[in-house]
Amino acid sequence: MLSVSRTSLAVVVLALAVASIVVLALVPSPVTPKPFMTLHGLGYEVDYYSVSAFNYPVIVFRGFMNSMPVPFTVSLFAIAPNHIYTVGYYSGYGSVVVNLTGSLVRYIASRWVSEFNGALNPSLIAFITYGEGNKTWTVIAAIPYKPSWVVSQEPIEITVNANFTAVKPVIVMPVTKPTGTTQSKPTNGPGSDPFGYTYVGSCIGNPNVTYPPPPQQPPTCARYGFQCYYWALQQCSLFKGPIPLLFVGWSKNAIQNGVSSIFIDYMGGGTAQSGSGLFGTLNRSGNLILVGPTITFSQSYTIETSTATSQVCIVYGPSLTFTGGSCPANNIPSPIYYVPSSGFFYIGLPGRVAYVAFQEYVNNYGYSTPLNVWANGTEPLSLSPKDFAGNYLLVYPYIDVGNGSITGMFAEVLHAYEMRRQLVVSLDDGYNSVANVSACPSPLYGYQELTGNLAFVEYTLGNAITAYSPRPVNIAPLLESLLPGVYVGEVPTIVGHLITGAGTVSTIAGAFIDTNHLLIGANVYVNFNPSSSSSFYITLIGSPQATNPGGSSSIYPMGMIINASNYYLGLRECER
Amino acid sequence: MVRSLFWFFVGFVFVSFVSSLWLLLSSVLTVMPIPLPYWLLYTPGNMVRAGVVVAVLMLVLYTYLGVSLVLSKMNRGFVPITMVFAFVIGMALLLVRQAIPALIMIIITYVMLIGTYIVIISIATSRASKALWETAAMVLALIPPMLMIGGLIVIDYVRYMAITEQATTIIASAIEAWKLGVGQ
Repeated sequence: MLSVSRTSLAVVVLALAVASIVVLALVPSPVTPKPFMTLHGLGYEVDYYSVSAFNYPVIVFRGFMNSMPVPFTVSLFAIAPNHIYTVGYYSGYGSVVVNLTGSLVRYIASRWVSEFNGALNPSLIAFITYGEGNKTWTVIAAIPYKPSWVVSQEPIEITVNANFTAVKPVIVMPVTKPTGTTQSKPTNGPGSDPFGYTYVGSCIGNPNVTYPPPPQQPPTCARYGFQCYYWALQQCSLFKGPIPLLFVGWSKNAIQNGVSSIFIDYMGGGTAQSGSGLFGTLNRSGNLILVGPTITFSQSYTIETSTATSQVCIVYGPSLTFTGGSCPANNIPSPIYYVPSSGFFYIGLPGRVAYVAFQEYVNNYGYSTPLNVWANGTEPLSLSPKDFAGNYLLVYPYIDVGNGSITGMFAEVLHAYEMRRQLVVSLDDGYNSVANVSACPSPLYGYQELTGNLAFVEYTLGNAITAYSPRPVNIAPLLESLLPGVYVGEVPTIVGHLITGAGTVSTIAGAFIDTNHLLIGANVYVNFNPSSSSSFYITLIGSPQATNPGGSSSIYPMGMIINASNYYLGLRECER
Repeated sequence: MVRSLFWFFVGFVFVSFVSSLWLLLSSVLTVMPIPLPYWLLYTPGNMVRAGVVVAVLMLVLYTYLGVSLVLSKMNRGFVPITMVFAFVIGMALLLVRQAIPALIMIIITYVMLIGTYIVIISIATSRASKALWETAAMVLALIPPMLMIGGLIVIDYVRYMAITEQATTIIASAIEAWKLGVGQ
């Protein structure tokens, strides 16, 4: 019996051996497709093949959850030299094929070829989303391509493998704990929830949600008509967390070797005038729209700090520790954050921010059809009652060591910078300890040398940043930056600066603030030892100017970054 | 003649067949617009994973070979066992970033692999499989000097040589399995 089974097994083995030889002969031949280029991003991988199942350029999207194919949708955008176009929305089970044969894609590719002569490889941006229950996972993939492939319709196949397991769900289950997490507490010290935002619930039906201006195409739905266009709110997710206003960031080398301490006095003493407020930001087909103000101050408030002391001291330490004591270098008693790495200190208003997605519809004789036009963004919906005390508007301190909303904002700013070489924040070179000067003519600062080898550079943040006028935005700041909860995670280290290895980042609150009517001050003292400190550079950061419906200029989180090797991003700019 | 070696040769052919089939299938299926489980995709990450699986299976097979020989009072069985140990130690050293000792262990592994082929030649029961294992051992011995002299320019030739080496060992194993299975 044994010998019979052994005989048959030997026959099988012989057959398998012959089959293996055939397969081995095929593997190195050109019949077998092999990627000629592979790229990775957070939760996705892009492979490029010149052997294709098609005879024109295509992108094959694949979506996996726990390594198994799942149904998913793809929202695909193409970046033209100065516009972002929606290529289309697709859905499928396990795989989705997008042909790069359409006239729009070919037009965009030809623009790149004609303007840059093929010297640049632009990207398509895909939002690949999988939903289950009330959770959605989105992988944002940047897909670089050679425009000539599209123009001459070469049979290039690009496969994009999206691994949803690698990203955090955008909408999570409502928090069932009755007590909120610590980000709404005055000081989110160590041990608190590191995430900047907590999902609260749906905000569909919330009266504070502000719709974008009516779609451009006339006629609108003002009268009962034969054809009209309107916006429908398709998604509204409410998050609880701080709306950042001012920040101070530092790199690890700067805090460890460059400066002795950063002392921040955010007493401010600014005012929020009656009628001023916070705006929402929406991205409609690549154009930034301000909506609101969604929160308006019904009376004038004096901006005041929430805590007993309005000072904080940031010092390098082996682990993140929050304690009281005297700030090293200047010996002023204050709360002290010992920080082991790069991070941000920021002040903000605890509140509720909504992620909203509006879809345009057309109504034909009473039949409504959705169009592929979306306006997505964030709107601050309400401030927390703890923000108010009589005639005072209270601001709260927060620390973000690589997992909070300011890190999230920079992750997305840098992501966009890498993708498009376009900065969505404005930089102004501040102080430079190597030359002991400011590179730009007049960011307002004070420099003083004290006894005992102590010197400091002082900035009054609000004034220093509004002293120069950031350039206006006329194209999309970014799709990504306006999507809260979108998990970018992987922060590109462009010139080896600030944020490296931020494992988890959440988002930004796109709260534009009317700077004509709301001003907060914070004095930042960067203390250092002029004889022994290594070099550091201060860069002032504001966001681009945008025009709100009332016509005045607006700005959102502003701050500064202290870097060790060069000005932040290594860009020398003097915006004025 | 060690009858239990039948299973070594059967395993050798099975593992080689499955790995080369995966290589071919995944690369062809990857460019097809059909839903696939992730492990069937031809991606660098999956290639590495498949490589690890194949390496582990091969190590198990070589350990089986060595132990069977030693149990049959053939001390040459220690050659494949040494190879497996050297490989495992080399990988462990690589994981703790000890590059030079790891390289030494990998060189020992390689030499021991050629040694293992020689051991197999010495116990092979047919002339044909002996000749094929000899060819494979020679090709294996030629690859490092070729790479050292030619560098990356000869990488394509080395790839072909590796495939030839693999093909010869598969056929040799199949012949040996046939001899041991069907009879003498």
